[in-house]
Amino acid sequence: MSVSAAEAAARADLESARFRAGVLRAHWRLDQISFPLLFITVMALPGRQRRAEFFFRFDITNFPTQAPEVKIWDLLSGGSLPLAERPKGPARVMEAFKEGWPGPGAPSVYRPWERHGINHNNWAATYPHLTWLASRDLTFVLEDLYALINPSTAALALP
Amino acid sequence: MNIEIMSEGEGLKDIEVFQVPAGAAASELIRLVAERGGFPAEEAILFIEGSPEPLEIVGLIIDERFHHRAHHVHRAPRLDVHVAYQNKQIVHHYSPATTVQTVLDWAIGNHGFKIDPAIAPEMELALEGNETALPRQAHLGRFVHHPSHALHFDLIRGVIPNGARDR
Repeated sequence: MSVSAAEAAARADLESARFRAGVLRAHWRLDQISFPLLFITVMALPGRQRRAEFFFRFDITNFPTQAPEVKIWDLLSGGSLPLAERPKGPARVMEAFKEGWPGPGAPSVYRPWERHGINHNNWAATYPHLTWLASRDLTFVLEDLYALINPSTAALALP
Repeated sequence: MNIEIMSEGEGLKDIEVFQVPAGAAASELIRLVAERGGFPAEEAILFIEGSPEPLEIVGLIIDERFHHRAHHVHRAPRLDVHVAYQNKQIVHHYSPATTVQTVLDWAIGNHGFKIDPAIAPEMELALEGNETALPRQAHLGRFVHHPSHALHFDLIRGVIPNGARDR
């Protein structure tokens, strides 16, 4: 698939009601487009994380046939966000934002929908509801990121 | 001039955008969503996302305020929401404009199953008998069709994809 087709697919996702609803709810926002790269901010609710927002760098080359490559990003430095500043939480959060995936120093998000997770550890078969499919959209990824960054309020409130 | 309004509704699979003329009666939004959902508009009521009560639409005119909130159109004013976990079941009443996240918070919290804080953040809601976690921002009304007003969820533990054997 050419980059222009990927760009068209990504733009359709960005204009969809699903994506715009997330913007309306202040769950995420599009910061920058420089195809094949998108920079999208995902917000943290008060008290959930030490930062109010996290930046993600999406490489949508061959999207949506190929899953997006999604890295947790530091806009200021133009590189990966240091581990100490990444989202904290229960095991699934720590796993998702751990250091070194898919290799030393790499900052890709460790989830089955991410480009490097497709062929990893039989994830596509084990987690079909989380794996990437060409029928999915960018909002599918953003909903998962938002849920990871924002654990349930009730869970936080329990003694 | 049209105003873009986001709404979920009975019979809709996801949130959608509706174009409604500024200055039109709010019943026009209800008509459009009902038409899309395939049910009679005369029986439908309009909610703002998260609100327990429907909007009073008599005299209500579409304006810019509608553009800044998500809405819901449904025939049921209230749903009986059952959540099952480990052979126990709890029930609470919610409007169809309530999000899955709100029910999840209740189900794991002190008024629900009082889930151990160590695993509470891992919990998800799935439709009864299903193991796929529901999107947390989905409105409950999307899963219920009038005249049924009951919704049955299972509280499940979400998966933690891990294991880096082939790294």
